[in-house]
Amino acid sequence: MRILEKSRILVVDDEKNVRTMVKKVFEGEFDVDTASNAEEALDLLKKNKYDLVFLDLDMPVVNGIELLERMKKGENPIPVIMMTTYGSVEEAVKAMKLGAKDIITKPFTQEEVTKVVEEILKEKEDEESNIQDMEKRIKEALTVGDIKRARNMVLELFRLKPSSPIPHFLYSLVNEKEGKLEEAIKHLNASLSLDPSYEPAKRKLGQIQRSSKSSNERKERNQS
Amino acid sequence: MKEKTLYVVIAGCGAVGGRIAGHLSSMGHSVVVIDRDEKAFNNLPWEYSGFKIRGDVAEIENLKMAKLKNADAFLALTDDDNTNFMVTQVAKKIYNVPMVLARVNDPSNLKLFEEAGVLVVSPVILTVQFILSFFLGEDAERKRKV
Repeated sequence: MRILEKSRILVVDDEKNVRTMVKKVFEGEFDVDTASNAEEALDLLKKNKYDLVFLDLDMPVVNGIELLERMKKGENPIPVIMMTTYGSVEEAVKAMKLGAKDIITKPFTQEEVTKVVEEILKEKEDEESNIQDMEKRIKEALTVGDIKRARNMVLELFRLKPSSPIPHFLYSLVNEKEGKLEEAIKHLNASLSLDPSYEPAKRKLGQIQRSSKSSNERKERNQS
Repeated sequence: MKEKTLYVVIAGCGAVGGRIAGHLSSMGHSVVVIDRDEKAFNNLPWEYSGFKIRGDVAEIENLKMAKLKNADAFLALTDDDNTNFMVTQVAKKIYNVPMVLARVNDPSNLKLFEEAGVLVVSPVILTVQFILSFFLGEDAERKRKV
């Protein structure tokens, strides 16, 4: 399962046997962490970056719906698979409305759970490859000077991936092409605030800051 | 891709059901145990990685909840023969489970189960056979010395 290789999964369930089962199914192919309650889960979500979360709907104290609501407030929503028991249809519908990617009813088999994960990660991979394709086309439009087309495509990307650092980075390239360096820096900072480790934005920011510093120095020399 | 694992539903999580569930889940099978007594789940070993359903196995809703229709095997291991007989018939005739096995506590019920097409295991018969093996057969004497 190539698409699963680099993925990291979090399993949140108050029942140890369910956590153990899901962990056993994916261990070796993924990094799997487990949490027995919402507090532990939120702590792990802060520390690590997950590609997928399995979330039990019927946990005591803070249930899956409440945890899902808290997770959705984060900057980067993570695909969530809700685990429910037979008969909790209303709650399951609520979870879907809150953005859960899929629902799997307990008890489930290893094959069922693997299939659900494969589908979601494949969808994620397709989405990422679409973004890469758009990124390429935006850069091509900028190279040939078609700023209007590049800007429209970036705006479309903003709509598709509002929480990704990529649209802000690409918008900074449009700004740079238009000579709006202050705007470009603003978008690069926005990109880095979404993902401080996003290298293209880091490099571009350094490049713009260096060139604006040397241009200021030239101006100062000319004035003196 | 791993080989297909079996989906096994077990009715009754006593000393036998709990141990069987533990072994099957350790072997990689997907296991569901049903028992009406929450304390019965204490019979599951710590490494058990299947599902637990608390409820009366004689109620069809609990069998639905266990997704019996998807099961490859159903094991009726409660200590009540009437319950075991009833649920094995539901598993065979309504849900068409390919393998249906029952623990038969009273040996006089064995015929009834067998005639209904259920695989049977009788703790009484097994115990009797084991003890008699020390007295019957060619190596009985050797066994008694162990």
